[in-house]
Amino acid sequence: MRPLASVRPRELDEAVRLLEQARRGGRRAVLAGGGSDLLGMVKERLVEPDLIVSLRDVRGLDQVASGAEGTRIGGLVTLDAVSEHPAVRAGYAALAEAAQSVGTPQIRNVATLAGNVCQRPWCWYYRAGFPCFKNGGGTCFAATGENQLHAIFGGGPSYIVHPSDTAPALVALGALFRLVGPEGERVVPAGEFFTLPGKDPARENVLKADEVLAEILLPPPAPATRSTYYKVLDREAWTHAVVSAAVAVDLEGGVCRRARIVLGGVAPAPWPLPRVERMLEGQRLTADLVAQAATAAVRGAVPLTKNGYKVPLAKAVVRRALLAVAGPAR
Amino acid sequence: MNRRQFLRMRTGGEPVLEVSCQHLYMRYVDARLHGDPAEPFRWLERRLRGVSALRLSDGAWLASEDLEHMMEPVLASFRVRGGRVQVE
Repeated sequence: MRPLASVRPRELDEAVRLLEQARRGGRRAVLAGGGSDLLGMVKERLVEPDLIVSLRDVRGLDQVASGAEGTRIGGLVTLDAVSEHPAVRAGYAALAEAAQSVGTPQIRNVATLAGNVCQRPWCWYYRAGFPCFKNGGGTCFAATGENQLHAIFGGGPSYIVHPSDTAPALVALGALFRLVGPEGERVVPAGEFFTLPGKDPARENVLKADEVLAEILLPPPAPATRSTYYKVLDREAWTHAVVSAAVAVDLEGGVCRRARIVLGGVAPAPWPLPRVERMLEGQRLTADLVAQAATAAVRGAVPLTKNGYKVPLAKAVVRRALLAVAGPAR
Repeated sequence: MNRRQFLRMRTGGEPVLEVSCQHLYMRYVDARLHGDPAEPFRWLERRLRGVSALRLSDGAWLASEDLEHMMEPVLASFRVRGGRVQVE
């Protein structure tokens, strides 16, 4: 049996140092927040760490704080806490709804926001241990194989879809991610955090070695902002989105001043729709305009052999999410 | 509620149909796009045949475009039959 050690640093700098030391010493160290994804991956032997650096005792990362500059959510805040927090519910409904839609109550009670954003794909080839790009191999078996749940946008050479529900919401809400690593801190807009496989098919984001997603910063919501997260699943509950949409609009007197629409479940990264957003800005969100926007939302989709159904589904999801924010205030 | 009622999800009380106006509106927009805007209201009419009360939730959505106008004949004929409509 392989030896496996676990450490629980109390400061983030110490956690980063432990990760770096382990890597330099040739050990395989992994980070654990809630551990809900990591534990399954260790059991499946998708990762075989020598050292688990648990962040559970790190001070200050489990707090939500609101002020004039917006809302700061520590990476260790659980999805349940995110979905229930009054400031999140009031100002960032799409995030609260996305967090609420994840997995089961048991998962939401331990899984963290940073963990949800950084989780690895749930492609069945990857999770079953096939030697694909994500497992260090040189191919994507879904490209010509069982690709029912895979990408219709942004795919190639890997066709995974990003599994996070909260990621599309954070991109739509204009969140910033504070990353802490051995070389210090940096702040990255959520929309630039996620990467497509064309850049590096083994990765899903810009996190460097030993870097931690420490905190998520949400800008203050405009008074007329409405947002929502609409998710379609292949069963009633407890799973990832087949297709989802996070929508945030600023509505003044019924006119859309600013729109952000980001799809989930359709691409290797949260998939923004800037062309559709421009169609809506300066217009009243009537059912007819929303229908046109939904049609435009799927232009450029390139379905694989078995996931063409996602195209009309994405169209309907965009339509429903936009109608929901255009409708009566909740 | 006995086990049989539970399994059939019947309480034994007054048969009530619960419909979300938001869902009905979404369905109406879908139906309009498919060229059959009356479809959700035919569906509602069919469902109302077996109940004596209709509970409409998310009532604010009735004001969306012409939803209320489309529903009015269905609700009127339901009321004529003695049905009760409650908007929440």
